[in-house]
Amino acid sequence: MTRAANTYVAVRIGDLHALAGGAPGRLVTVGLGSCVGVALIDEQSGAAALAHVFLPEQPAGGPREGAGLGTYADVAIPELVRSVRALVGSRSKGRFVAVIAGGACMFSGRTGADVGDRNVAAVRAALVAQGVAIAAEDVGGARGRTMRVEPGPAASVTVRVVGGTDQELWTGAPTKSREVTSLLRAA
Amino acid sequence: MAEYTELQIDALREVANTGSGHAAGDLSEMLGHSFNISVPRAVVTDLGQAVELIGGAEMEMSAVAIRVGGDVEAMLVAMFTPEQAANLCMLLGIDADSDMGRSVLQEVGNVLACAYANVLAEMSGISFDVHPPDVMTDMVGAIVSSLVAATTRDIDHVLLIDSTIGVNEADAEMSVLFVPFDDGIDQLLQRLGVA
Repeated sequence: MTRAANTYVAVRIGDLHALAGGAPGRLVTVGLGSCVGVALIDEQSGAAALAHVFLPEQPAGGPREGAGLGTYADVAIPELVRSVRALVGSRSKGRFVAVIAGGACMFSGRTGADVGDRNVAAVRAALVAQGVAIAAEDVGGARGRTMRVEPGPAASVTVRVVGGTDQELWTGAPTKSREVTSLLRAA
Repeated sequence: MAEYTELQIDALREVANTGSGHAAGDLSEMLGHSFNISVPRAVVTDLGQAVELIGGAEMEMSAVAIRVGGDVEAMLVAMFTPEQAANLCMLLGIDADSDMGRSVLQEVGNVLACAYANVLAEMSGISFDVHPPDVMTDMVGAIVSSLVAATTRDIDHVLLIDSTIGVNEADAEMSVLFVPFDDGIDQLLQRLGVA
């Protein structure tokens, strides 16, 4: 499978996007502060979806005008599951795992400064409700993050902080099978 | 953006220019250098577009954020890149990485944001209470979204004020973002007589 390494889908604040396992490109969300990036990956097909969660739950009066499906954790998580399931169809049983990053506390000592913690708690609760386990996470702290999700059989999630480099947070490809693949290619 | 007339944008630009004048006076007095601040660009736009205009969500910047309360509630955020910070400190003869450098940058951001708040109050008759600043260095997107999420308020339009700070006849740039909550910009335009 060929994949254009430099094509990507930008997932903006409150957005949610899904890519099939064989689709070119990757999902990227930049500037996660107190927001939480939630990746949902079907390990079987490599399909993946990414949401940039802004707040824990939608207001009592319903979502604010123009808010994307990824805005509120309580709405975003079921929607992530739905969107990946729609891509996977009946061919896969759906072996879903979640990878989450963000929820930083960018400033302290004032009302609302704990919104990062509340976002992470809401994301965890919503994932439990959907029966999806968290395979890896990089949450809390005081730094902003950028998250990249590469779908496919060797699906992976990387995270970087400002001024840093992409660090692999999770990969669906067992190291062994990767080595075998490269040996076969070399032969 | 298209919803505002030239007259309304001009009124907001005038607020920005007057605010800059006051800030320059305050800084000159405080730091003992000759300051001059101009506003090459002041635009009304949405928050996402403002972040793009500042340099993109992943750009590293230092920010001084001030919450103002009163009849109109808003946030003022003064932002500069590491290069802009270093440049400004160099003009003042200070090392940007020293405690002194960080303290001066915080004070410049604070004075600038307070000056805008005072001018807005004078011109619109809306009174503002100014809260102590939060200071952080990170990705622009992370800073702005976290500040907004913490307020749990609706944000419609924002005013982005690019500022050129002249110190002793050399220039340094910075961006100031005025973020009114709910329909704050409309209330402001009404009070400025251009609604």
